[in-house]
Amino acid sequence: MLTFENVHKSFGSTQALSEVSVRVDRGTVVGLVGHNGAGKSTLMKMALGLVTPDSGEVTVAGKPVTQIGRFGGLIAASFDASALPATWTAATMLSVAGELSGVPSSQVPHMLEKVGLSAAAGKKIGQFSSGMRQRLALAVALVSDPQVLILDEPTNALDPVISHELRGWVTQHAARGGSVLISSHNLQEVEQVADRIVVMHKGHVARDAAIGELLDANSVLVRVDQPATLTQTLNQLGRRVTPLPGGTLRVEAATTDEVGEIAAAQGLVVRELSAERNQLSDIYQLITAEGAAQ
Amino acid sequence: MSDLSTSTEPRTMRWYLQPVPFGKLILVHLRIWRAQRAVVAGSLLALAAGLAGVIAATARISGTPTAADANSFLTFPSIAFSVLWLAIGALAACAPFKARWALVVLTVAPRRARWLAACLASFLLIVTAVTALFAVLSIAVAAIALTVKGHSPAAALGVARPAGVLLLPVLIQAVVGFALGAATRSVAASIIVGYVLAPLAPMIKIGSAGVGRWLDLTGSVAAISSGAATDRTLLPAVTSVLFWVILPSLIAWFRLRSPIE
Repeated sequence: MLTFENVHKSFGSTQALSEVSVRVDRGTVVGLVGHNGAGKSTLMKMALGLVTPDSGEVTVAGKPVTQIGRFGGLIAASFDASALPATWTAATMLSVAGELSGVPSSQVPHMLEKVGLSAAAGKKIGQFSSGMRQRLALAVALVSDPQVLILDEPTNALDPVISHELRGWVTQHAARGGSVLISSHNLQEVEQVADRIVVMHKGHVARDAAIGELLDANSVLVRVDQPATLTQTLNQLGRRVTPLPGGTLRVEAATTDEVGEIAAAQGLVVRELSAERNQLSDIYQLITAEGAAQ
Repeated sequence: MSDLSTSTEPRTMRWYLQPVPFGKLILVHLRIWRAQRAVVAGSLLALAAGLAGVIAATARISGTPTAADANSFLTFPSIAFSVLWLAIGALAACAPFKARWALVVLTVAPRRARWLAACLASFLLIVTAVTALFAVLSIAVAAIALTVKGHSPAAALGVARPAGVLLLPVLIQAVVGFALGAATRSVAASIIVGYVLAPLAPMIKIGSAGVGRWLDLTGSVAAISSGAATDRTLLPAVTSVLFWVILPSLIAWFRLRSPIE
């Protein structure tokens, strides 16, 4: 649905993006993570033609973004909420975005209600808190119900309730066949919604993988009544077992099915059995550290 | 969980490839200008300055004025009114970048040159409307001022003729101001160029040839609007106006290619 094909971009002597290729398919949420200055925002702005690549191509629904004459309903973005025009009211802001997108003006109150800004419709954006601005920026992105949704740090300054709502909207959008490219420094939040993660580092794609592939540690955590017995059996089968505090064992290069069957065959009572998952924050640090070392 | 889907009609790719209709862009920008304090305040200031000038001019009348005398009612006020539009034009062109609503519009309607053209067109509609309002109010204010002074208000109708030709210099000033603002993206720089450097341009000489008259914006606007331009002076006058419009417009067009913040 949205593709960046071998995209390069430099600002003066600073290389912002180099050989970046990313796909956001229909019905998927792609999480874009990276340090400040990694090139995330530049890449996202390219999707709407706000930044032109020096080389490479950006396409939306198979068409180069430069050929598209109007984005309303096709692709929309929520960028820096602090930059919303201070003298406009929330209603003006949404009306302008809606009118240009061909959305009936009747949708404006509906959308303001959805993001909890009905009471502030006539208020100047300059008087908004940062959380209200963020909600308005989201409403602007969502008002045309776009096929591709670009969310740059969407939960900055949002309270936990609306952040939770946002995650629901994102997954709901993807479930309806939409595509989402979301960036955030809150890795836990990205982990919750993304199907794929793209880790950017110094303008390069350091890693692009499905969330399961990235987080699957290929190890199992198991807690049984007699850990010594299970450890011995697993060692005999060539599995590496590490005892953890609380009587839990970490079994490497194993699946839950395998470990469960082995424990059952030994007549052991299994109190806990789960696949171990890496934290995205750990993986992220590892990848960016590798990138820095190269 | 909230359902966020909105009821837009299903669209084909062909629809997306076509730009937002120019008329719609203009209508949206007319709404935007209402939300921009600077342009609204500038328009009101120009109106106030012009009308104050009409009152001052009528206050100086002695004897029984004729409709022909009334022409002079608007000479000074119209200069005050029209000159301000260069600064207001610069304000209007800088507003999308300073207030950062260029980003709001261009994330929906990405054709940048078309967007800026719509910005200008909608601004010129406002200029035209305010100038028409100024002309009508000038006649009314002159009539009231004459009545207060014990004269017949009929002479105020003489204001109508200079008011009629006021639109052209006002539009020229507004377009030049807008072009300078779009090129520099700085109101201060536009004002310096428009009000300081442009009036100095007639002094430019290359060798013994005076090229200044080909760049004389102030003189050209006055000559064109008064109808005083002759066959010999019309070409330099038109050239100078085009110079002050086309050169900054080219710079503005070039700058439009840079990333939008």
